[in-house]
Amino acid sequence: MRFLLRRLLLFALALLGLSLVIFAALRVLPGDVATIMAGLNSPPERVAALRAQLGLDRSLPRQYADWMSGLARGDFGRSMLTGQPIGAQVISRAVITFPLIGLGLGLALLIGVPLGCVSLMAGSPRLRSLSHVLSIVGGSIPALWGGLLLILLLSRGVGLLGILPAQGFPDLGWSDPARAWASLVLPALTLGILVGASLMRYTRSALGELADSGRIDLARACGMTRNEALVRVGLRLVLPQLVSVVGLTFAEMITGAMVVENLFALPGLGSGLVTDLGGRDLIAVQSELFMLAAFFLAMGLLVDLLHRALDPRLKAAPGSGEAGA
Amino acid sequence: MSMDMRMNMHAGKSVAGQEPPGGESPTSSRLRRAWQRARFVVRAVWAQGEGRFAMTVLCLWILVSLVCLAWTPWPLWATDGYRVWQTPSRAHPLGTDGTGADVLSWLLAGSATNLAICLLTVVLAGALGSLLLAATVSRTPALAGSSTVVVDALISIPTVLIALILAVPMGSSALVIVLACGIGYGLNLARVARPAALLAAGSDYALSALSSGASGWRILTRHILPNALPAIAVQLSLSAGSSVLAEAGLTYLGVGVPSGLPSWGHSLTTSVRLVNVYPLTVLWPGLVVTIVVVSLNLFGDALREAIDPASNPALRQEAV
Amino acid sequence: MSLHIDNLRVQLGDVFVVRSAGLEVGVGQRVGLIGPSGSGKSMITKAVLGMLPPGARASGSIRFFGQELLGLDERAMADLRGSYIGTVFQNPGASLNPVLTVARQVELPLRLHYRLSRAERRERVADMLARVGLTADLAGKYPGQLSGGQQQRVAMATALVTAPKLIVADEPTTALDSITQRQIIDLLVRLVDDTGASLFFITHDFTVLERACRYSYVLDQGRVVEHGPTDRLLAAPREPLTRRLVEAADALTLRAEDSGISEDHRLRPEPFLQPSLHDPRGRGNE
Repeated sequence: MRFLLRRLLLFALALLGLSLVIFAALRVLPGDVATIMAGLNSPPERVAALRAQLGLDRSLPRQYADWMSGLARGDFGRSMLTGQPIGAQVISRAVITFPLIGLGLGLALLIGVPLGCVSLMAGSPRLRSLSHVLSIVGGSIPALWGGLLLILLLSRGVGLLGILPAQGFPDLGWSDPARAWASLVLPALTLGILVGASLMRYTRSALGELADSGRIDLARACGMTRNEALVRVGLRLVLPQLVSVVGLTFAEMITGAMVVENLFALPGLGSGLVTDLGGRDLIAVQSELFMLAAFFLAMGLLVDLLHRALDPRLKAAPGSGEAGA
Repeated sequence: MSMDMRMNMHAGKSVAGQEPPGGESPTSSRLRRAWQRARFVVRAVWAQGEGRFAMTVLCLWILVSLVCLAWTPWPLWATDGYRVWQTPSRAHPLGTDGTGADVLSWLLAGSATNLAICLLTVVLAGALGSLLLAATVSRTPALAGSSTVVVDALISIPTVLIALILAVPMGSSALVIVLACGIGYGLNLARVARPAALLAAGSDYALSALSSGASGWRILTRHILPNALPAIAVQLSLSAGSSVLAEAGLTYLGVGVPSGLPSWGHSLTTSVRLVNVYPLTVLWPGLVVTIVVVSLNLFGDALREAIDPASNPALRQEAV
Repeated sequence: MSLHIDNLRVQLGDVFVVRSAGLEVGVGQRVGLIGPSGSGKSMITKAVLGMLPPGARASGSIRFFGQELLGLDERAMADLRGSYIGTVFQNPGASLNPVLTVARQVELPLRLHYRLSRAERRERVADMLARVGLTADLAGKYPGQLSGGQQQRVAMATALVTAPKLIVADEPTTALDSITQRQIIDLLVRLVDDTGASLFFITHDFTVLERACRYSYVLDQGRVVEHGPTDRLLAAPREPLTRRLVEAADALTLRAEDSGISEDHRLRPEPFLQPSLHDPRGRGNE
């Protein structure tokens, strides 16, 4: 329980710190926010009007307080480019990005963990070194190139086997789930291969260490073969660390997700952020960056809690049973 | 650690300022030993098949970068409005881009940019990471505790996010990449090398050196950091690979190297548009990036084997 | 002959860690293997169990009730382990599965080798726990909640639940304090004798060996340098290594604090002792 409280405190502090950093970054500009947003050639009246409208003429601490209280209320302001409330915009974009990341992670686990096991347990040394090479190459492919190759291979129109849509997200959105998911497959697969390579390497080294350290010896002595023991006992024992590693790959994934969203023309958080940056909609950028940061800190928190829940060493404190032989 | 240092330690003398036999100054003898150790390591890396491949590619990269600073098949600014988006030909083996410039030349010239970004990132990440590491093993509990917390809290922030935040005031530039990657990988380094550093800081050698009067700074630089060096070196080599990938992604997103400068990210971005013109040219920039990143990763793996005194006998006499 | 090792050689890379070792464990006998660390004892154990590290090469002969073990594939060895050969490891804290309760750990060999109903398994587990001296309420606990001695008892229960013919005990008491050591050894000896199983006991400590085994082999750098009835080795060691090990034993407290423990069990005749090469009259040391 104390751990939970400490961790939540850490989360809150990090979030606060990050909000300050984001806020500061948007104020440390060559020129003034309003000028940049209005455009460098705008007449001064327009700039002044914008400044007043966005509350940029107030003091900095006041602006920060306004922003924070707005976030707490759920009022993220209005986008300068589209005029829409930013909150609604963020949600409509998140609805694409989060399933993308989820699918990507699922594919990564499906690809990485079994291949990692295979690379350790396979009989022939050639298969083992092939998987080793595969894991290194898989982790070295730039997301952009990987996506392009998949497009060249599998997409309709350009690709060899035209089975999946190349770009875009259906206008109907999730009301037509089949088409929606279909358009997420190739981008998610790109992410899955990238992150799957890391997971594959990790699984292999963790299981290898386990096997060498003798922690599966008792299972073998009870009657399991080495491979059975690795899968039935070993995977469960490395699970907590695997969860942590998955948490670390989230960072890899968001980079990939942003690239992939742009490449496959998916109107998600990543491409939205880039558009807003390009369009100098700094107020929207401020809140969107904060949302992304909060998402990542929340993932980190979840991963830490899950790790702790799964770690068998923390199942019960030593000495809580009776002492003596 | 040499025999005389060990003996002095047991005799209770301060670690600092003792003269090795021969009257050489302590600094230059330390440098000489470090150089010897580095040569052993490099030799051990070269001895492994993958290490050899990696080092060859990396040397090629450096070579091409240096050459391209002076010469490229076509000058980079040679645009030709009549020949945009051309398919590959003898004059332009990889075709031309939207301004009529030669794609191959831009790809080759990009090596220099990426090499510079890579080196700067490694230096920054190494410096920041070592600083944070030093703070983590500090004897002041407040400093140690808070730096650990800071590292753990910030480490889950993806590099691209840092880059985006920096891009707002700074615009898109290579510096954004260097700073974002340097900070991100530096934090990562501080976390990954922490166990090795803590082990060295709590070791009997460090504790007895402390009690015989050596200053914390000395122990840090002479014992803790050298012992954490293997973990640091391997992690930096992996970070180098990640920085190349990061540059590709960030430039594509518009927050990295601006479009006026050549870089591999730029070439990859160009190739996206060439997909419709001539799909196969997509192969080359990505292939170059993949091979270089693979080499950096393989180098890191080979380094890990080479630096471990257990698997590299030549290092054993020199082991601290 | 439950276990017969002949001319065993084990190679790790370029180094021979076991060079031409030979020993025998008769049916129902308790035989020990003693040597300093690095002498190759663990490798012999691993070779018997078919759990050598990858990259190790073994040659020679290891016969288990006449069946040659070297060269059996992993599946065949796994079938023998846990059903015919039980193992007790040195460090129960590291070998017991931390996510399994005591009951599930002990029933694991039963689940792997036999088709029993849940009730039958539960019964046998409860019986086993009682026999190793653990109270029933510990069945639902995790290894992390038990003391070292309790953990080792769980390990023994796991090893013996299928009534195997051979128990291999690889330094089972080294990680325990001296009082617990005595209790565990006595328990192990009693359980082994009650079922008529053979015991192959590995250790580096003569006082432990004296308590556990009638006949012992001394191992030095991969070779058997001396063997004989344990009492004779202690009283009249011939090889210098044996002498050193005996001297080390004399210095240990286990021997000195022997007061209050009956001498009986060390000289108790073993119920199913068969005549064998090293004990032709089948009567043990009298």
